[in-house]
Amino acid sequence: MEAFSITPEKAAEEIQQFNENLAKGLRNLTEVGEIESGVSPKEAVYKEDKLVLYRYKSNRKKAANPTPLLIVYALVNRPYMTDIQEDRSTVKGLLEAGQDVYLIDWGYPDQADKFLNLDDYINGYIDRCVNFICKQHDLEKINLLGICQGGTFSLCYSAIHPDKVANLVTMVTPVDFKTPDNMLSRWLQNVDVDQMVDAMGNLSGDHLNQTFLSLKPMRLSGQKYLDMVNILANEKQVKNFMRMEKWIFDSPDQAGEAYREFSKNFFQQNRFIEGDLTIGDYEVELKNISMPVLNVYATLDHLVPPDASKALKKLVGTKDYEEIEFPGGHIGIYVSGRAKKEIPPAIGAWLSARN
Amino acid sequence: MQTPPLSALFDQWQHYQKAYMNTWQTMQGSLPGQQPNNPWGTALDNWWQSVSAQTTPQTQDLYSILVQQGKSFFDMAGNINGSFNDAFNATGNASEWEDIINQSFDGLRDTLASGSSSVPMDFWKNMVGEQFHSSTNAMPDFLNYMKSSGEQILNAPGVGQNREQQQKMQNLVILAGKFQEASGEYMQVQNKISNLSVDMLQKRVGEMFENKEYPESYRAIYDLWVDCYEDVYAEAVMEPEYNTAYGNMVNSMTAFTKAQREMQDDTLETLGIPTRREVDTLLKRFQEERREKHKMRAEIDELKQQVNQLIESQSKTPAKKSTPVAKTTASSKPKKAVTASTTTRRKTSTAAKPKTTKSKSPKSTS
Repeated sequence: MEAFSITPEKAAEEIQQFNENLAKGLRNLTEVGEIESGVSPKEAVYKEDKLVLYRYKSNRKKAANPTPLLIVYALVNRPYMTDIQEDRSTVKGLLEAGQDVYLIDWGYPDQADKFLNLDDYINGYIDRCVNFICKQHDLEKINLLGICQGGTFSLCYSAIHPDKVANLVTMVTPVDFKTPDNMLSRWLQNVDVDQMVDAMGNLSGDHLNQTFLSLKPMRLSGQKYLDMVNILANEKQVKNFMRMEKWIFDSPDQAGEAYREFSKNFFQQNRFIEGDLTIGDYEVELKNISMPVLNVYATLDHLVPPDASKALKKLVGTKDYEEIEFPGGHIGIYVSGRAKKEIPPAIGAWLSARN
Repeated sequence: MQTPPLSALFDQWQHYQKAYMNTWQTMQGSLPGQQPNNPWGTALDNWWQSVSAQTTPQTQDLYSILVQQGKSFFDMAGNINGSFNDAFNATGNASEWEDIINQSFDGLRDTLASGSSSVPMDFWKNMVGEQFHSSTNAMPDFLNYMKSSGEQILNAPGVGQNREQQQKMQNLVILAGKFQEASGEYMQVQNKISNLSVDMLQKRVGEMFENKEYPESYRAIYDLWVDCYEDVYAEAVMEPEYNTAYGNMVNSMTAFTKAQREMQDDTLETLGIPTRREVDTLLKRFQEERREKHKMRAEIDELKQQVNQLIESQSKTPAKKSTPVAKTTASSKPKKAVTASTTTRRKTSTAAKPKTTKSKSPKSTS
């Protein structure tokens, strides 16, 4: 009989290496220092409640594209993912591509915010930010870039206020919430969302963290940390890991009413597809999106499956519709080296061509 | 240069680890057929206890996870590997070989079922457990009496002045029972997933052995195990059985939480302390007022703009010669004010249709 591969000596060697990595890594971890939240310089130009609208500072004296770009991030997680480190910053890439970049930071809702609904976010906060930017630049329209749930918000906004949006970019944005491979949507079908919000008010960030980790529990809560041991000896990689780790668990609570409406309208009733969606006083129909649209999605996205994003093509009213398919995951589309080289320049070029 | 104390500890620890490993290898080699425990796990615990106090809280949290994951990983992989080694070296017949393998996988199933494995059972258990235990531990003693007295007591109608309070408490106990039942059913579904994943692991290991493709490291065994688990999990959690159990678990938890909070509010009310109900009423009214304020402000801005445009257009219009009798005709009346362009401040877009039934303030007209 052939000998089994893993001899005691080999096993001991593996364990020994693991222990050595742990020990060396501890040294690096204690010296890692403060983990920053975003790297590109920016200025707070507008504030309302917990919302802060930032304008990013560019090295250029004047942006090549005179139409500013407003990034609308999701309420879930924090927007500094788009600017997480020097060599992996979507914001920096957009600035380098000649765009004048603004970003909405939603802040951290507390129970005093529990009655904020989607109308308050979309026709309230986003609209007032757009108005502010228009006034600052003496323009009637701006460019909009929505990310994930922020993309869903941006679609609603653009359908309600097409007169204020020059060009629309959506990134990893769910449109069809009931594709066969959408795990989150499947889990939420049997949940009494009304009872949940009535009982808890806001949805805690911890609950959301656990839900997202549950999509791939062994990989995200186990295997990932064993992978980490292998990089502990490398200071730079340790810092990068800690940045991601900080962001992953930096989850704001969700305002109760907004969570209720989003879960019911989109995850449970899939109203972009089924119709009959209203936000506040407005009916929302994606066919009213008449401006050019660029839809960017990730082929290995386990949170927003590609088909969930691609459904947008048949729903918008514009004839100027393009897609960019990125071979990566929901997060990789922002933080991978390849993404940095490909995505912001492509978005910048697309926007500038329609200036 | 002064050597940092932590550094010296690491070097010392590594030296003793090497000696420890050498001894362990010798022992393992001299005891064929036995499955020694991985003693390095204890050594790792001891090391971590000795250095953790000198690290930051952030590092402590992360390293506790790393140490725990490492121990679990090596423990699992080591046990499986040990069994394979024994099976491989078994001189008996094929069924003896198979028995050893099956025992090893049964052991893994038992480990997962008992929850001593970490992910994914841990955080669901924690989420379910914390909510429930913190609530039920706060129950007065007579509720526990009611629980143990069975359904008869729970379904008996209340009487007297405290009738409503009693019924609320009975309801709370019933909901607690439903929550326990639903979380038990959910854990059963999770256990089923774990068992299926072990079945798949066993199957894949069998295929590897048939093809003479043996794992090269403990990590390879662990990665294979993770692949099997995730494949089974991804399929199972899309099934109606899982989603029904998940929904029931969450709904029973929120029903219990809602009832519990209502009772907390009742208590606070009797003490004259503001309740969640009251604060919610205030917050809701406040938010509605803020919406009205924003709408009014938008309308004021629009009116201001129209007035400014009107003033501007009038200042550009040349002055007319005065006539003895000025007839008031339509043409001499002031021109209509130009409404704000639809591309700027109009609240009603040409695309989206406002629902008139919900409109709260009158639209401005020019």
